[in-house]
Amino acid sequence: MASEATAVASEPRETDLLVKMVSIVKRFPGVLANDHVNFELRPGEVHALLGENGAGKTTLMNILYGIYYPDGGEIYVRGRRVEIRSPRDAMSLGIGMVHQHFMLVDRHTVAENIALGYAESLLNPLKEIKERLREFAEKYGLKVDPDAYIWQLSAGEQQRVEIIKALYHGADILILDEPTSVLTPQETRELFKIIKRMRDEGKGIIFITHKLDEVFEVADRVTVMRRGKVVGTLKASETTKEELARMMVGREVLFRLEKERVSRGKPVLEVENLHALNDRGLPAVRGVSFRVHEGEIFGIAGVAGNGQRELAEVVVGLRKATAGRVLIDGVDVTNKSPRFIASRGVAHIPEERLRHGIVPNLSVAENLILKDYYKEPYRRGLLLDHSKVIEDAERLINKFDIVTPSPLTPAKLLSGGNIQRLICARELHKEPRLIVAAHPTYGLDVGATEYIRRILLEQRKRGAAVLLISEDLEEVLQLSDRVGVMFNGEIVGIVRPEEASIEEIGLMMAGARRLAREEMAS
Amino acid sequence: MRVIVRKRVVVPRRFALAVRIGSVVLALLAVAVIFYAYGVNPLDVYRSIFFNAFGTKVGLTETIVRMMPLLLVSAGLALVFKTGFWNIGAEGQLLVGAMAAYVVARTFPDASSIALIPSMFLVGFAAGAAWGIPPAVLKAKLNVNDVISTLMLYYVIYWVFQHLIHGPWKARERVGQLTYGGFAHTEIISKNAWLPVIGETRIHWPTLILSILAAVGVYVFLNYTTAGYEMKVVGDNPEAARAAGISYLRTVTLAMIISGGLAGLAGVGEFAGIQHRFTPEFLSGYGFTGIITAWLGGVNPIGLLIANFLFGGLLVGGQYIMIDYKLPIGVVDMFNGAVLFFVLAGDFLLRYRIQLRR
Ligand SMILES: Nc1ncnc2c1ncn2[C@@H]1O[C@H](COP(=O)(O)OP(=O)(O)OP(=O)(O)O)[C@@H](O)[C@H]1O
Ligand SMILES: [Mg+2]
Repeated sequence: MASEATAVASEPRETDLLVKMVSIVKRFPGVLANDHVNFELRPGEVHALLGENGAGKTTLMNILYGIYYPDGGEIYVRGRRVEIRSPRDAMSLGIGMVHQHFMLVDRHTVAENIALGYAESLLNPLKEIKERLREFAEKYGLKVDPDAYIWQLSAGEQQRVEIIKALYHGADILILDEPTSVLTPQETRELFKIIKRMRDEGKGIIFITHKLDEVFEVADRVTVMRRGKVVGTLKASETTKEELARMMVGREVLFRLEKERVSRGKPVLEVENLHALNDRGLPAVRGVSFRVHEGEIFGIAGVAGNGQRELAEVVVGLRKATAGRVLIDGVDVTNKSPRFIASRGVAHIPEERLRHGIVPNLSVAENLILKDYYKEPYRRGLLLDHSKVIEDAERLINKFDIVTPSPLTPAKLLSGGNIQRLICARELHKEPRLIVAAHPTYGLDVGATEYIRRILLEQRKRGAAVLLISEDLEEVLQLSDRVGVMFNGEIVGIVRPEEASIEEIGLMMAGARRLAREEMAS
Repeated sequence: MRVIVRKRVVVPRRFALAVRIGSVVLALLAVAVIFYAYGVNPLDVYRSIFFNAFGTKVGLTETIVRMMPLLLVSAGLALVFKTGFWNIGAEGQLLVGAMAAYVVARTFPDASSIALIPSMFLVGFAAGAAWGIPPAVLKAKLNVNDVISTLMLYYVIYWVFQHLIHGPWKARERVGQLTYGGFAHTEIISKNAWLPVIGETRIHWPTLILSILAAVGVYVFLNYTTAGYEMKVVGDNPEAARAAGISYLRTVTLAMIISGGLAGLAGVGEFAGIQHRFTPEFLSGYGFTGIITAWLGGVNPIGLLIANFLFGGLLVGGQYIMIDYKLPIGVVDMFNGAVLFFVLAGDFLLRYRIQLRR
């Protein structure tokens, strides 16, 4: 059915195609994740794969990479019909994949991770690996320290390791599943350079993303999926952002939100001269002070790793402050328990969603009550009222459009973006006083991004205070009333988005400029 | 040749059951080799075990006698394992429970059964729970390894016990006018403290009722109470639990109170229902065998009943083969070890997919 749409100008001969997937079908209990999907990849092309959360992008790529076996359809690699039954098969066909959530072993070094299970020589693979790592560094600009431990690396560096791991096996078909959602703008630019260099070498790259601008920046062609089907394949040069969005969601998407004027109330969150350490015991937050008022969104901009994450964790009680105070509605909550702080009306969308946000083997419904299970109406004496839990879960699943076969499905089986929707639903459905949101739209499709941003604005209108932390500068500037720029653990400037220029903020993010106390917007 | 190990995304339920049954079968095969080496026909041995455990009336009732303490121990263990806490010391918690019952019975020899029996169970539960709490607190506060602390506490109480029955608790026996301390055992507790049994059997029914209640109880507790919900969250993602304000200390301590307490009840039953006095051979390994049946059964009353009934039968049948085939006493332990090994290996298979490639 969907095949007419994909039969776009097939100039190259069949045998020239790197990958051709024909009529792929994949079912999971309760979902048809891929419904007769056709997809092709040419050599020397970057092919973007777009689609709503749960559209089946990751599933399709997992099939190509041998993680899932399709229920129907055929796969051709370089013109030859193949059966891919494991990642090993995929690798031997020259297919590499960087997953949506990284799969590196934290406690091992870069070289060891690359060696794990894959090295050619059994005796001393590390030496050989280090040598080839140097080669990659020169050829593609993929620089990493082979002896660094994974836990010491930033998200961008970890991703480079994943890419190297794929290239290490001579992959010339590279799948990148939402590679940019965890990257800083600089890291993203680096990644694009690497991608372009690989394309120029004749490799084929499949690139999944939710950020439409990126499609125009790197992709040659783009395939849009919706509810398991391919809607169409287009040349990037012949389409527009609006058209792609419409194909994805099936309706018009607003890229600019109307931000109403809201009069600011009394302060909700007050942070005074706050200090905290990071996981390695080094100072990460160094004397930060600011206030967030009722009806205000206070954005924090900064390059990842400048203390934003630690700041958010201290505010919600997940990390100890070493000095300073945090007040919520005038009550000192410094170093109080997460539950105490949550009970003051603080909602939290955590940065590390898999680590702090969900309980993977519990059901969607059970995950939705994670913060409320001990309260009415879920708790009945010592018992948990299951029918109420399910009833409310169904309501939230509808309201926040969480794509799941049922409320009883384990949360880990949801697609990446739907896990994020689940967390947003849990945190934002009530009437919080303060919302601490770290990368709230991370991994969300355009429709859901719009929806979550709208909710944040609605909450602001209702009188909530919002502390918004995001590496997406555009998002921060668009939503915030004031923006604090963090550099090296300090707030080096507080500005109003309409008054400051991007260049000025960029300079502050890089630590090259600093506002005096009286220059800060209050 | 390369070995590739990958995590499974979904574990089908039927596959899980098949792996469990398969691991028991593999253990039977492995031990068969050893029987064979002893020059006996493994088939005969297994037939004999099966017949002696389930084929006669005495065998069946004895199987139930063994099943009761196993059920109590494994119900608690299955629950505590759900929180990701490894209680390996149920044997010690069982022993403490039994010792508490002895103290009660000895202190109030003239009290009525109606008063004595419930108090022994209550105090036994409390004692087992108390013995289970320190490892939980140590892990929560100081990150002390749970496997080691629970196991070590077993050794502590075991030697305290040995000391008591060789000294302070040693029976004063009377021959005519003479009293003297003879063998390393305690006095037999007064009949009022003996648990009632069903007919001619050794099935002390209060323990039977408690053990079935425990198997059903842990299931209800885990799935229908808020505290059970907390245990599932802590076991599955401790970090998310912390972020949601669930106290690790409270949750794991509660799980250990239940687990230790149920093991304590098993000790009370074994002492007041069967042995009635302590000898150095009081313990028979229920606390350790219960680890295996907890793995096999999970927090599921039917699963627990089946696993413990079968293992109860194995213990009974095992006794007969030692006599009938003159096999060493360790054979049954060896079988247990083999099952545990295969069950754990099977569990790994459940979670990971292993492929061999050239
Ligand atoms: N192992 C699985 N078992 C059951 N259902 C699954 C499994 N993997 C994926 N699904 C379901 O298949 C559908 C497609 O998921 P997929 O991960 O491919 O989406 P996606 O397009 O990558 O979305 P996202 O943008 O959110 O990452 C979803 O409804 C998801 O819940
Ligand atoms: Mg995905």
